[in-house]
Amino acid sequence: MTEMYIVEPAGKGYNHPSIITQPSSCQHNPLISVRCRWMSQTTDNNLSVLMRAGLNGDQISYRKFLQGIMPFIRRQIDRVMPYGVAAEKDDIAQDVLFAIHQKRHTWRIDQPILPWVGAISRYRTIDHLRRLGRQKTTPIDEQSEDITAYLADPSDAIDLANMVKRLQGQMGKVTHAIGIEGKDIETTAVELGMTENAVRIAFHRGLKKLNTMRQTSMKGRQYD
Amino acid sequence: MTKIDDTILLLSRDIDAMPPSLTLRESYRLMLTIGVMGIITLTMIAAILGWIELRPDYQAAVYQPSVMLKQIVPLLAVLVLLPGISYLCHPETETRPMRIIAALVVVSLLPVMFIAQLFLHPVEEWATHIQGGSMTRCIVLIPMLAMVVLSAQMVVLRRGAPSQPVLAGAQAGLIAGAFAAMIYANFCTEDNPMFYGIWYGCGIVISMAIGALAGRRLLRW
Repeated sequence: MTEMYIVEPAGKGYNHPSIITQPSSCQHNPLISVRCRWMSQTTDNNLSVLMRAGLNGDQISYRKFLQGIMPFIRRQIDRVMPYGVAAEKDDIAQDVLFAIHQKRHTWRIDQPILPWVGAISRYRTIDHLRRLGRQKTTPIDEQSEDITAYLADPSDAIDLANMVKRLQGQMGKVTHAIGIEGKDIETTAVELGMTENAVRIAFHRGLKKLNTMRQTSMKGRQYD
Repeated sequence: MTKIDDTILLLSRDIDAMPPSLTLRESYRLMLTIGVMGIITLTMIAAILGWIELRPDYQAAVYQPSVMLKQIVPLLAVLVLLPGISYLCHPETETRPMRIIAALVVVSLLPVMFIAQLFLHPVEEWATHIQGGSMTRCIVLIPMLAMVVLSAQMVVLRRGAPSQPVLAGAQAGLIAGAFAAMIYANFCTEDNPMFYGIWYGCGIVISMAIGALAGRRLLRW
């Protein structure tokens, strides 16, 4: 069972709950399933706390939340698609992250969060299979799957940073500064001579554009 | 792995305190109300312009069972579907089979009434009873009015994330069709179940089909 603890840093002015995960015990545990009712409640509660903080504008909590749900996303992807190369699954996981971000308001804050995460992961994975026009087939034998996983990762060439470079104008500059260089909104606003609000909007638009670019590139990609 | 980390970093930068807004459930209720109000207003305007006419004998006729049923069957469909309709917006909720069966049973009451009436009338009269006087008007107006409620619902559903887009669209279309039939019945003087059994049923099913198609096109995310 995943072990997660919430550590509340006390008396530091700016408080955000931080989460400690022990990945060794949870990454490949076949016993944890998002659909199961006996799924760890503590994990769910901790993630819900982080997400609630995230929805209130706490970026660090939100990041921790996204990191915390990655094992669950990957497990759901593996479930729907037991075959496929690592690069393809990475693409889907990225797709799921974008979907979770875009649909974050559809989580009811008083409900458990992992079923919600699981449903989005399943939906996006199935959607991916549908778009590829593939049928759910029997997985190739394990040995060959191991080999394909070590093959060159085709998605490296089309990574996020490269895609951001293709964004144009102010939108591209803002997205690069905030998303890749990790600057905050105030600094970016000063550097580019824009108002903070304009920066926010430009970044938001940049992300949207990025998402469409990513989806088109996913459609045309060959994985095997 | 690093690609995922990049994505997480990127997305977390987009987070701002969300301004307080209606929950999906509240906006669903709001939009549904607006849609139904829209139909009522539209029919009122049409009545004022003289395109359709509120049935003059409404007070007297409404207590006859066959006239009452015209509104009760769509009302039943609404009552079956309305609770939990807003859950369509949430990805983790799936439509229970019972809900679909119940909705289908209610809607199939109309064709059942139609078939039952077939036995009560001689074969020669069937054609006149089925055609009535306003067949085309009925079958065109019910889906048209339903479109108002359907599009109002679509606005909310698109903001949400239905995990079964086609089914969600069909349910939205069905409830819209039922509302439309219920209101249209006020303007319809055809009281023979043979007439409305088939044409109201058709109108509602057409709305449902349009809803399912719209769900397929618009509700994917």
